[in-house]
Amino acid sequence: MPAEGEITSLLFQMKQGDRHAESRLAALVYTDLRRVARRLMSRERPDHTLEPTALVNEAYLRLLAQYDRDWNNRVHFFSVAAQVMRRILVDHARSRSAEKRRANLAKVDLEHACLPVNDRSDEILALDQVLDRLAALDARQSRIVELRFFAGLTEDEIAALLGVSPRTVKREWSFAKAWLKRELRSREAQSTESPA
Amino acid sequence: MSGEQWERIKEIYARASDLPDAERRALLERECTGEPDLLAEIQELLANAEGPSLLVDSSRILGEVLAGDYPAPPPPSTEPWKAGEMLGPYQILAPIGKGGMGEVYRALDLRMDRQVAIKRVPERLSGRFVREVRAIAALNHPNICIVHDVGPNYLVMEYVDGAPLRGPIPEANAIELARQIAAGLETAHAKGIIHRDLKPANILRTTGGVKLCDFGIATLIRPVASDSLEKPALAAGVSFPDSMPGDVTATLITSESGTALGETIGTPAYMSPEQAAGQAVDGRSDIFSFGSVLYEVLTGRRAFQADTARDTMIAVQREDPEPFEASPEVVRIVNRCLRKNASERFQTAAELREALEKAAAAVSRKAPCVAVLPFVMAGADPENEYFSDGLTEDIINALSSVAGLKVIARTSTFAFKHQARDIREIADTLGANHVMEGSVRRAGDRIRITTRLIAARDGTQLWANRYDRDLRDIFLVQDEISHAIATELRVSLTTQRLVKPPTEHFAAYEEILRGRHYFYRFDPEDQARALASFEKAAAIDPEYAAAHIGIALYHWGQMIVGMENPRESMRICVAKAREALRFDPGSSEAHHVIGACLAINDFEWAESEQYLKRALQLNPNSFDAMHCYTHYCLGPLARWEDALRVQEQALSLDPLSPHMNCIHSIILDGLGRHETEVEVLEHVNRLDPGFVAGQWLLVSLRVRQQRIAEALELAEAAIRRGGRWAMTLGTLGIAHAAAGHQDLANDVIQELGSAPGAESRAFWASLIAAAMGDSGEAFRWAAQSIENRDSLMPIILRSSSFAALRSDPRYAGLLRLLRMEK
Repeated sequence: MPAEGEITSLLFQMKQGDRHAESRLAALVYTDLRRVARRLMSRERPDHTLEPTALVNEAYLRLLAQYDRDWNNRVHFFSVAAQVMRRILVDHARSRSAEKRRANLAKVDLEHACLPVNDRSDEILALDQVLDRLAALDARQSRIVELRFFAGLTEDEIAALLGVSPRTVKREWSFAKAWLKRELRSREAQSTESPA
Repeated sequence: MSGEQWERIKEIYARASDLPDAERRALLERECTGEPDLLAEIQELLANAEGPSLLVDSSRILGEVLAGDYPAPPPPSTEPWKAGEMLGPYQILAPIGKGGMGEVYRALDLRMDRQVAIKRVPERLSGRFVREVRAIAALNHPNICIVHDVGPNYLVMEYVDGAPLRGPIPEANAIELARQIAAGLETAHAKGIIHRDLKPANILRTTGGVKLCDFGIATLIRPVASDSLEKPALAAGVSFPDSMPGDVTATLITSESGTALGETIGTPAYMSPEQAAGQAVDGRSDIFSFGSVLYEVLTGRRAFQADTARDTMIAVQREDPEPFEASPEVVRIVNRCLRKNASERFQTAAELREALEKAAAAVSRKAPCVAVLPFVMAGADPENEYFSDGLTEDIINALSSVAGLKVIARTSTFAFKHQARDIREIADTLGANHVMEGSVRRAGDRIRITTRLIAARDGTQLWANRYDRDLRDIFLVQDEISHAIATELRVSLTTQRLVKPPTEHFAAYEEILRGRHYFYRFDPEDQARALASFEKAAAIDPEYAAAHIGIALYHWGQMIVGMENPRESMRICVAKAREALRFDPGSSEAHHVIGACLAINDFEWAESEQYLKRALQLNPNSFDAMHCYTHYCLGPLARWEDALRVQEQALSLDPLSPHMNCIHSIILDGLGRHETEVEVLEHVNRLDPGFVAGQWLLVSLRVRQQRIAEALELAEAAIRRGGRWAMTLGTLGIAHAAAGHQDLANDVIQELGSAPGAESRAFWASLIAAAMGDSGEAFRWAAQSIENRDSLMPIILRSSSFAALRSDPRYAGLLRLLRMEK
């Protein structure tokens, strides 16, 4: 558990442009998210689906809310949390796909060879790359995707966070979804055409 | 795509998406007139607006990922344990510290009544963890901290009373500690366990040596690493925390749990490049970490250290550590461990340990090691040089018996005879740190010896003295000089005599000196003169052990060059050596002669080893005993590891001897270390291009390397230089055989029957036949050569020259002839 006020001061440093502070904050959020997730999973039925929103909100409450009422901080915090979530998913997908490659190359022991049936690591990795491209074209839109997809925030919450109308968020989100999907499909088509 | 265009697409898309089909078409036609690309783009996007989305499953995946693969039971309490609290059979005594993975307590195992260390981890341990810890618990090595037990959230380990390793430590001590670390790694790697977090904090230094802790445990708590830190920007600015100093990050990385999530295991400053890159690791990763540790232990500073953990990891992957001061062998070892490319490092911990042992030998050479240069015979004619040479040799022998003092062998120091070379240069070449030189003048019955001891480091004179004595006191003078040196070098303060008068007849002594003088020249006439002198000495004083040894060595030498029948030679050798033992039971030489004969003549390997070991006890600096041990006993038994250890010791005493280096090369061949073998043989060739055995081994090597033309050239050069006798002819025959010149090779076998050294014909013929690929002839000649008791056959039978025949049942038959069957 970080020291009281540490998050606030990290957020402050972050707003001053300190990248180290951002990294440190990300590490704290990451640690906390895992802790929360573990607790939730152990308390709930095995088939329970964790809502990222619940996780991020809880992390926010635990890490920040009691010390800080600065709205601006909340925006930053959720951006960081969304990025952390993205990182978690991507890293996970990457390790899964490495495992799959290994499993394909050689018969590994059963324990490691058992991959989950709902494994969608390749899609997540593809999404990650496409999202990078989107960020280059439209930073706000990619931010909305991150908040929506990785932090699970609602359109209204995002609107409030970014200080834009819910309608704008809705419009951007809808466009981004279509654009991402189109990009993903064309990637897929390309990879089936040229297996190399 | 321009920003303007992007905004336009967005705008049209937004307007179109809410419209029914017909209106939408109209809108698009209106807005995109004359811009077919724009139209296509928007239509495509609209087509993708509906339908299932990848995004649906994200929360499910996230939940699984975050919570780990195993349903997690409630986390154990995080309250610290209190003294007196019971934990199964363990009673907590006191906290000792806090490690990367949790708190460590000292506790008492009430069942065994022994102290243990309990490491508490911040979470419940999985079944897999427990299974793997059992594998670690099975590691039993004096340099590995034993794991006794594993509980739901703790590990019970051997209580080690020690402190984490901390540099700088003097080189000699550091190497010994490093050797122990490597030995621990060797044992663990053999069981497939990789440490993955080797660092000074995990290495405890105790009074008895070092203990490696937390073997493989970091991995168990954190399996698999995935992402590369090379691309931190990928995750939109989220990366490993930059702002923390290296070790803190490690704590973060290793203090939480679950499945792998791009976490990198280890401590940045000691990680291997592949670890820092999040790639798969093997034992060679530990070897890199070992290099970082050894660097720090030697220098007191870290090999890789930047302001942030990430920069440290980048340094690990890209930068070379600052150069540091140490012995060249040690610098080489550290640098090789720290190669970025794992395939350029030591490939196994065993190889590393061997290199350290070798370095230890090299470093220990630096502590008292004296090279006695041949004394100069002043004033008289060069004919009398035998006297000064003999005197020098006796002083070398006397000093050799001083425990703790290394004395460079005669062959190596005598290489500098008549050479005006700088003392420091000589010392460097020989690996000595002290040099002794002197002069002798004889006038009638009087002798004057002037001698001095010089520190090689700066050329200063440490001690000097002049002795004007009666010739009869020659042994007393030798003893005084030896004592003075031993005292000066602070290796011995014994009052025991180092030189006991071996004879009361000065004339006999003089004959011995003369005999040795001739003996060391290798042409046949000199050998005959040597024998005459030794026999004369024995006639003057039949109880003079050195005279009998001299005769034995003469016959041994004749046998080696194929001039005498080996059985007959060895019969005389043993008889003479036993005679010598009657008068001097402590004669190291007599022991090594008998030991060698027991091996080569009688195939009594165990008894041979006893004699050779005894010879080494009697004279710990006897390079002759060492090379007999390797050449005639350990090599033939294919105990290559042991042989290498002894041979390296011999080489440290006699570095310039081509003979010693040749045996070294045979041992390296036996070990399959062919790269080093090549280096050694090329070194021999530089030392003495006329040394025939070196030529032979080099030719064999070139044949194995398929460099046949070169082999032929070398063999012909050997003939030109050394004439046509057994060894040069054998060498030529091997080259012809390999070149496919079957007739020429057979001619050589024919010629070997009548050339000088014909006694060794069978040995050479078997090598030639083996090179021709004629296994029948190779085995026939080899059996003949064993029957003849050829001294080279037993060790060469184990070398690459016979590699192709090893699987043949007849090969086992040869081993049976040598009484080596299992």
